[in-house]
Amino acid sequence: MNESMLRAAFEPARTLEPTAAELARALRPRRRRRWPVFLGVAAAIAVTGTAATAVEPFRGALESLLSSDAGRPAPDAPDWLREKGTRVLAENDGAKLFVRREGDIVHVSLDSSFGQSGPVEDWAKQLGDRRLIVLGPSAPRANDTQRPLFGLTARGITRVELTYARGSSTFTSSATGGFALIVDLRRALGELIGYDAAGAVIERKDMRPVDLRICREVRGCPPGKLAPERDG
Amino acid sequence: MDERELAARRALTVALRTAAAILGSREEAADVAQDVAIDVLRSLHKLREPAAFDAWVHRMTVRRTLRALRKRRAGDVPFALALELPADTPDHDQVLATRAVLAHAMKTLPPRQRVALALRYVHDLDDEQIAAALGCRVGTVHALLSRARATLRDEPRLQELTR
Repeated sequence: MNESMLRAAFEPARTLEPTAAELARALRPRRRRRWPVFLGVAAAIAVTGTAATAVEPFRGALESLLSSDAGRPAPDAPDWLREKGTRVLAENDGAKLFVRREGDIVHVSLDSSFGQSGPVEDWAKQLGDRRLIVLGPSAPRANDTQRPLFGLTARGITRVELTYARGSSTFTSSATGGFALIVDLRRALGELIGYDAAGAVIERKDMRPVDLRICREVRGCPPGKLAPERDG
Repeated sequence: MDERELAARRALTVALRTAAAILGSREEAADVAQDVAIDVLRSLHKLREPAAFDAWVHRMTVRRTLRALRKRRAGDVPFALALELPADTPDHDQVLATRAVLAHAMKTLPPRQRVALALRYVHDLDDEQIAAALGCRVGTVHALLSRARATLRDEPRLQELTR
């Protein structure tokens, strides 16, 4: 484990930024409690009331962002951003993409291994900007010949296709909100394509630079092979 | 942007990054960052040396994060900080895999070792600055970092990835 690898591993934390809502909350005026304990209940009621009214504008802004009446690309905000609790967003041959919403925070996890958390408005913005988001792969399976690949889809995309440099593609049967594809690691990747219900292409993503093979960093692991080739 | 807003933004950013690296959860880190930013705004008038702002925020963040770790029930929060990487990122797959394994390994480290690692690799602080944030001697920081790296080195899955 060298220094550059540790630095790269901490990269997600190095690039985190507070949201506008978090900044607004920190700047909200607060009163110091200067009164004796017997006034504690009255103070608590006053503070709670202030907080509730101050939160309203933020909630209002969020609701309008997600509402179909808003001017932003609200139609792209998927239903799962609005629903509380845990659900499986996509599943394919046992590989599952989980989504859990707690308050205004949404957690996405890949096959129970790792994932990403963030405020609802950040997810809504990401899916407003891009309609097809690749989250990443989970652990390889079937003797390292296959690997689940997960991602999110904006509203409007109902099916996702992964093409390869050669041969037939891999499809999801449905991709409402997210997708889980089982990638054939023996073939070089081509494109990830999102389709709407009518079969029209909504978004394409070039997957040619992506190599999900475990052996790819090992010397002597040529394209298309799953293990290094040994001389003799 | 006035002085209060600048201070709040900087405090939130510094605290959010450190706490997220230590706690492994953006949600929990955001709570810590809120508390730190509020402390900063309340005491901003007491800060005599503006150049010491970051060091001041680091000290508060470490204190608040260690408190959050103590309050947390063992194993109740997943360490999940993997983010989408651009497809053309060098070592894309290995970086993602290393993050996932490292996240699990981080959970096994004692809190002060996690803090030392986070301050070094998230904020690039030197030993002296880390010692100031932790309120300990430089020699202690050496020991914390060296033990943390040794633990990570011995993690079998990390050994496989870095072989």
